[in-house]
Amino acid sequence: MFAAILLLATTMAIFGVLGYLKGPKWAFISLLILSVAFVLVEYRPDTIVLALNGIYTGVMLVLNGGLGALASGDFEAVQEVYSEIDPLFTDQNENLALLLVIFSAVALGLILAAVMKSKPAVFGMIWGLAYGYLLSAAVLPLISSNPAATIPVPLLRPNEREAGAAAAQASSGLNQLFTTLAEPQNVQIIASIIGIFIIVLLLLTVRSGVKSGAKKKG
Amino acid sequence: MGPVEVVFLVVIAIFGAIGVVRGWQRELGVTTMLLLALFMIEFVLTTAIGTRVESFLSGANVSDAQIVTLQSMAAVGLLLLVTFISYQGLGLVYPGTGKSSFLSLMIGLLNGYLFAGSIWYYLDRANWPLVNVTPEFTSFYKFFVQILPPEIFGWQFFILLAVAMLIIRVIR
Repeated sequence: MFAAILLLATTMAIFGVLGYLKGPKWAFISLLILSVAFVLVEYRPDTIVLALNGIYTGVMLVLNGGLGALASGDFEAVQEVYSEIDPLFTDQNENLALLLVIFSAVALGLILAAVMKSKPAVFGMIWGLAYGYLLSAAVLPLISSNPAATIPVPLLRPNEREAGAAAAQASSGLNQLFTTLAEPQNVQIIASIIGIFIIVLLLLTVRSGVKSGAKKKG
Repeated sequence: MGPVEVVFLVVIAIFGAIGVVRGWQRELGVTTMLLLALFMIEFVLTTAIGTRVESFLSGANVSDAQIVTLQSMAAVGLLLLVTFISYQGLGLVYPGTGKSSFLSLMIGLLNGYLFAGSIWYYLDRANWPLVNVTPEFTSFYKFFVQILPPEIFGWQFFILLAVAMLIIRVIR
């Protein structure tokens, strides 16, 4: 779960910055594209798998000479070629098909980012942060079997998924880790580390900043 | 992990993103203001001033739980005000050249930790007034609530660090 939070925070930070740099227009259009992909993945996963398998089968049929057999009216040969083609996505790997749709939407957004020109704006960052959140909400349940990784998305994902035995099993290790960390002697050590880190980070940053500023003036 | 932790961790991440956008020179100014605000809050709450206020409120028939809630709400209000002024109004800017995104991210995350972590601490101390938070907290919550800024640092830490930053800024 900690990895999920880290992924969520990183994605939001990246797209927040990208949204700021590319402007609100790009960020909003990309968010709309991703929302459509998200709704399709959430509500029509079977249709997506069926469509992608259909496209794959059609392409393989053409590549294996099925189109020639079809043109000559040899339907038995077409049937033979067709029966040799295994579907690309099955129940075991249907999450890959859904990830493909999500990443296609992201790729489309990134292509738009390269094409569109706009000025940096704070509103872009807000849309970008929303984009990062939605992207994490779409991807996390597909790459993690832990139902606890399902992030709430109002309106787009109304039904909360039930936490099952798998979630309990996966989170028990982390629970143990945090319980150990929460012991007083460990907290004391962690607090000391945080304190030293903050002091060193701030004072060194200020000092180096003052030095570089003085050099520039000098 | 419950939604309360998620909310605060996301706020910290947002501060990190803001840090990258604004640059560490400006973010250090916000850090100084947050340190001074935390010093003021902790100084008032933990020294004789806080005791006097508490005895005054007790004399006015305010219960202990209500006193803690009032103190926490005042602390949260001050932190929100100081943070808003620091970001929106005229802020302290530290000297320095160059744009290090990583350094800006680190200072931004530190600001997020000081801001969101302190608000988390004060709301937890007052048993989450105004919001519906169930008390069955996760192990992550129980761990993290022990390493929040006002929990592990006293007012001496905040003022000494803020003064040290200002002195180093002035000395060339």
